Amino acid sequence: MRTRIFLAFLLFFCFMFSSLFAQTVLFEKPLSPRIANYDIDVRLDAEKYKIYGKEKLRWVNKSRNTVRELQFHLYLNGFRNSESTFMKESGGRHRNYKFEGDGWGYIEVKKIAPENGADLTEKMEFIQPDDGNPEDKTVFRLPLDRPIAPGGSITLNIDFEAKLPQPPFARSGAWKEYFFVGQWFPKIGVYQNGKWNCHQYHRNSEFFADFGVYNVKITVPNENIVGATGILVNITENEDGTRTHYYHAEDVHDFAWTTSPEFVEFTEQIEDVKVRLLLQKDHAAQAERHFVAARAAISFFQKNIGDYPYPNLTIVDPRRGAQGSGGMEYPTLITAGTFSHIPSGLRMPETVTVHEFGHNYWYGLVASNEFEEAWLDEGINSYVEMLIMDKFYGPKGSIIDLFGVKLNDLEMQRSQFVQIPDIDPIVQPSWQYYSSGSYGVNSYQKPVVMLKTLENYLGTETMFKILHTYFERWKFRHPGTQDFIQVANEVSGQDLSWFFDQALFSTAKLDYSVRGIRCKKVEKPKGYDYSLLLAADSLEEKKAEKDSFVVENDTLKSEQDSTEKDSKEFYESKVYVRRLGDFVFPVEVEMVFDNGDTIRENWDGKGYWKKFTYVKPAKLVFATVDPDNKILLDINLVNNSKTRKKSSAGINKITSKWLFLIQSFLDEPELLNLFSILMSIS
Amino acid sequence: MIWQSLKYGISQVWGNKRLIAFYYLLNLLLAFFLILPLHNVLNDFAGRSLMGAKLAESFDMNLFFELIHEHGDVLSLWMGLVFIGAIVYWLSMLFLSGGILHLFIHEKSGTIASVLGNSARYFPRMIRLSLWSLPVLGILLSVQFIYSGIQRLIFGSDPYQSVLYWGAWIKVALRFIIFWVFVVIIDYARIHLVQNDERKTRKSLLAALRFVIKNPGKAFGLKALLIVSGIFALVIYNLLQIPLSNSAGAGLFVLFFIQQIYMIFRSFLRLATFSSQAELYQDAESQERIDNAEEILLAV
Repeated sequence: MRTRIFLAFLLFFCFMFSSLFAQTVLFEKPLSPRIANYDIDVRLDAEKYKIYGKEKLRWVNKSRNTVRELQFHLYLNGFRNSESTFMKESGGRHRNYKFEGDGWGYIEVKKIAPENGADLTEKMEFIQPDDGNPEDKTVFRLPLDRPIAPGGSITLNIDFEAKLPQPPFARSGAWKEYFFVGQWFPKIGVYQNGKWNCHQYHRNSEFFADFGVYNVKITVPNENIVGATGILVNITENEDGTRTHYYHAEDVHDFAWTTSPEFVEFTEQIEDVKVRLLLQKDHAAQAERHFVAARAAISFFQKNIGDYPYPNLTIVDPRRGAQGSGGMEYPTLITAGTFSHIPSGLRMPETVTVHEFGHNYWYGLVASNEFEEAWLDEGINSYVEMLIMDKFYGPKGSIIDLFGVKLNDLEMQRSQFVQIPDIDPIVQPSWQYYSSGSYGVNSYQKPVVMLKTLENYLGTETMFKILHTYFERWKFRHPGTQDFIQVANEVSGQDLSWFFDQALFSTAKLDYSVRGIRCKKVEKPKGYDYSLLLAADSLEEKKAEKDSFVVENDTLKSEQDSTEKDSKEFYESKVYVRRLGDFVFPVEVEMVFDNGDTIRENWDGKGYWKKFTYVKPAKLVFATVDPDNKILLDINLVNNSKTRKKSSAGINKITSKWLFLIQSFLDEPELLNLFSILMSIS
Repeated sequence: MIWQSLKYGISQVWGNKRLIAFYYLLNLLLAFFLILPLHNVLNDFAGRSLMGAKLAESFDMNLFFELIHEHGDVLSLWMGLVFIGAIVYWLSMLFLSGGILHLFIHEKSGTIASVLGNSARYFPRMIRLSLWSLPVLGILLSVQFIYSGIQRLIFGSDPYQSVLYWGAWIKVALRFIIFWVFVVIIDYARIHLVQNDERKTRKSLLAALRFVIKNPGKAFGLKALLIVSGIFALVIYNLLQIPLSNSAGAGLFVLFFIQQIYMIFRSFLRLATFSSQAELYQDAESQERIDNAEEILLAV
């Protein structure tokens, strides 16, 4: 009997264990190399804005080298004082938020030791691989007593304490009852090509890390709602009035969490993804707006780019006064951003939701190095964001559709690109840009315009194939710019290096322009020894022989329509096209004549100029370079065309509207008072 | 009394139609002068491009951003010009107010030359009156800070965004009311100044304050009627302009015509305000004098 009872208990425990194990395994087969694996137990002291953590890191050496030291990020030390590299570079400003007051944050490693090994805390040494700033403590190296051979691994126990900046600044921090905890634990760098890739925390840089499994237990006050990377395994009640929320994530390369008693929670199943929305109370009415955007993004990505492998997604709405943590991406957890009573025509919450979800692909799954090649994440993601926004909310007014003002995503991106198109190349380390504005343009907007130009050049289907192939080939790996170019070349079947060399690695401006058009009646030549070729009589002879003849630099072309054979009047039309920038791109040139004839010519765009001359029984009306508006990298689209006659109708329309606005402003200046609403909200 | 004053004011303005034309043309000419540089910049920039031609159909945001990029400095200068233009216009209105009020109070009908002459006569006093009125404006504007204090008292230093949002609307409404109250006071101060040929502008300001405090219903009632008329005209204008807002060619001409009709009505309304208020003030004062005389007689 006892034996039977024992066996029954044994079976029960086996079942319990296996069911518990089953709960915490997301993927039967690992999707990634799982190099950096973390078990973290963290407790929040909400009153002191502090966290106390115990971290167990298991790092696997998948390189061919023996590793003798490890390098770690301590990102929160970027907010330790005014002398950190982050603060020096930013001047205390990040994304329009200013770090003020005494809300400094920090992280301290209290103890670090290999499992069953000697304490290595004393051996920790802060290093500054990027700028040598001795005050920067965002990276440390740890020499090892026992090197790790290829294929070997190490398990380290790390005790740490951190204080979160208040209010949240540069993605992470706390404000009142709200906490957004990102870049919060000692995080190992990436060992790549025989050395550590572990950059300091910079104003313009984001992150780079290896994939792994995370088991994180988060202890917070009882009444707090928690959102985190991964799936919730369980919640346990503690005797001290706290709860521990246990989260598990696989094949991710970062972990972030948030907590607040003020969140209002909404959930919705979108395709195979359970979406959880944690909104602030006074934004609760905007839940549907977020879900609509999430639906658009998830369906677009799953259909065109690839499968989203995780079962869930959490969207976090930062608290008022804590917008510094808004608009940020972490694996399966993103922060959005909105305002109370934001008009439906201002699609800020939608854009941010779409954008940040996209990062789960281009940062989360395709883990490129954001320190060194930010465009691979931000640029490609902004491009797809633009496709989604303009498809689902556009094509006109996808971003702003208010009081008759319509702005779509592509226009918004291009508007910023044309302001500073040539200060830096796209590809370079993020802290080496001329300014944060230049970093922004070259990491976000210029890549959008570049990829849209490429899409127009190759075709939408090919472009989607490139993105899909790049994603499938490089997910759970660390691709670089050359890997993207290789995929583009392979999928398109073309060597596109001429394009990428100029667009990614140079500051060359693209600007083609129709500088002038001339049209004059062909007169009979006068004087001695003139050429018969252009004589009107001769033209009539030519009419019978040939339909057209055109002069291109030294070549003459002319054209005669059969219906106009009796016409005596011929016009010589000249079109002068110039390349004003250094960026060479093949262009089409279109000429339209007053009899409805249209001629399209191809120019390889290599020379500094090209002249087209036509002799036709019709007058030239206008000429356009890039008539289908494909080359959006062209920084000046207005000079792409020239009309023979001035057309003032449109300009008169605009100026008459402005005339009335000025009349009203002069007569009723008090109406300007209404603008203060916008100021108050923002 | 309000209706009578309004009726009288309107009839008086109707009898001086040239003044409406003068007022309107001043507004149109200055606006035209201010818009001309923008028109020229746009014409040079896009007048011979397809994008310029397409503007007749719809506005292209690329044009707008490229214009900023190419001519950002010119546009900044232009904005400055508009600001200066607004000041010039305000000064012109201040200048003309003396002559117009003189016409309505003392002459009933007159010529533009006489209006200009009297405007010049009163202008230094109008300037002084404006300067004296600044403290009044400051005191009135401080009311919005009282609102901010009350909001902080009720909702604390960390209110929900919805509180800030509705608070912003309340402040806008408050500022409109403050502005209108201020304009009413200044209007009656100017009337007092012209009616009594007052040299000491402080006295006019105090007299206006007294008048408004003693006759709030009449003073603000009349102003409210005129404001409502303005809002009514704006609503009608908007109903008419919406279907035409994207038109070109003849439609654009019709839109321009409607806009100018609206602006002419605004000029008419502004003059009617002066005239009606002057009438109301005179009536109220004469009534007061009669009441005073009766009191003296009764006392005797």
